[in-house]
Amino acid sequence: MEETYEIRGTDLLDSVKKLLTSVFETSSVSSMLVPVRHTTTHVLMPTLVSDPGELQRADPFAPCFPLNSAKLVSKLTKKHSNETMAAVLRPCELRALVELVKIKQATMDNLITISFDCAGAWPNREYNQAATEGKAKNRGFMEQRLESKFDDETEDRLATSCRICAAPFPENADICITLLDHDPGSIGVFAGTDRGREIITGLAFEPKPLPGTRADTVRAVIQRKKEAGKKVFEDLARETATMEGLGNYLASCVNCYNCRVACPVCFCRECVFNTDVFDYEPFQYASWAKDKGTLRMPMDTVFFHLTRMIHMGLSCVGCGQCSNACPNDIRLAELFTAVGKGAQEGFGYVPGKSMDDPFPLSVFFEDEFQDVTGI
Amino acid sequence: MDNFEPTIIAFVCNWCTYTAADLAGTSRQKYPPNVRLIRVMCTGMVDPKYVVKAFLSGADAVLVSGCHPGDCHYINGNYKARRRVRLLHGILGRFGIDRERLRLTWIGASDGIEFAKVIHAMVAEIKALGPAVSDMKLVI
Ligand code: SF4
Ligand code: SF4
Ligand code: FES
Repeated sequence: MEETYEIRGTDLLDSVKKLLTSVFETSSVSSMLVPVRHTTTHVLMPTLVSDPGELQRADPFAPCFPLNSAKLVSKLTKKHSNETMAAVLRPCELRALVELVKIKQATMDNLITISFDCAGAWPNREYNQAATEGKAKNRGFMEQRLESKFDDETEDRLATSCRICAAPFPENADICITLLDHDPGSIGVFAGTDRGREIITGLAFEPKPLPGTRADTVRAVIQRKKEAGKKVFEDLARETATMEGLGNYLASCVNCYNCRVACPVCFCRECVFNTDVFDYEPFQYASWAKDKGTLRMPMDTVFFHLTRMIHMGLSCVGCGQCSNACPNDIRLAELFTAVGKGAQEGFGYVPGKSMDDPFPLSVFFEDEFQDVTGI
Repeated sequence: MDNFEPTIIAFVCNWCTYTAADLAGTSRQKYPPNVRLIRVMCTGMVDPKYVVKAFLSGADAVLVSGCHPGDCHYINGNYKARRRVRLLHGILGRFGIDRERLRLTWIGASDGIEFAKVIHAMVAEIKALGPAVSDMKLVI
């Protein structure tokens, strides 16, 4: 049984800041990436903190998820450094990071990962609107969510991706923070890795078993979210059962590629859709239009999305940032999560679960998938 | 649908299936003209985008055909192709492009007869299935 600890502060944020500060101080961390409140606006952004005193403005629990930080960690760790960095990540951010480490776009060699029971977030547009009106309820959001035991029926602003996320709990972070079922204001900590164990045992917190009810609560949350997902996926499957259906679903796409930029696991250094391959000559458009009678422009929209599915579907962690990024409110997270899940099941692959599972298209064996061939 | 003539795009490996197709021709094995052969150096170079593009350009089915396991001239291109086709089955299947429309076969260089047989069977089955997409204008 993994040793667990309890931290009791004046409230949740105070407890978590206690933890972050002591990780900072005892593990010779030189900087920590964590959502921090901007000094003069409502904005909360991942911020690289090197002065532990600044952790006072840290807030990982607000329903604000402007971007998937795995991409930032990739920027910060793609070259070897002797300095130790820590990153506070939602579980889906950590999963995306694991995927990036597998394809060598990030490393965890000198990175301490910290994750927590994720209560979900609001869509960016929703959060920003509320925050500008002073109604963002950053403080109190997590408390309410904990009180309802992550019951999504009582939180109607939650992003769909969060509503249907079946893995909102920390698993393989070095340091895993538990919130559900603890006494109000206090948090639990356990190590998800050997490195995490070393760090945590050095922190001088009080060992205490996790609340006895926690396992059941967690199971119930996952069950509810899976059911919500089932419903969403069934509706989606009906809506996109044909290529025409997929075309309709994406009809308002303007090929801005924001979804691709926001996606933490869209890994190509240069997207083929930005290359000469798709930079057609005017006469080509004209001749295609003649062939078909009409040519919807910009073209290659379905092609773009199918290509994205082929490239990153196996790694989709369901973070929902694609939906956040779309200027035309296309429900991309549902689409990509559903397609990704199907593709992943075909290879028995769970993205972000373990560094030991190779990316399915990076390995191949002689005696496998015999059922793919044949006529 | 009686006079529906499917279009099949076949990505065939230079070292085996392409040679088999050639052999079928020279040995007067007849096969339907619905198939358009695209010669590639190995099934391992068939980018999934090629397959997607074929369907988006109106193909009713796609065939990828290469060397038998163990015979690939680039050692393992055909195993890579197999994983990619599996992935494509998983993704395209959700959008109505079922796996009958995307086939992977191994046809050796001397299998001219086998090649003609595969094309016959595939054309007949795709004819029965009908067009892959009924209104291409909606596939933007
Ligand atoms: S496709 Fe969307 S949900 Fe999936 S990882 Fe990318 S941004 Fe997140
Ligand atoms: S963000 Fe929306 S509009 Fe832009 S490319 Fe993606 S789906 Fe299309
Ligand atoms: S050379 Fe024929 S499949 Fe690779």
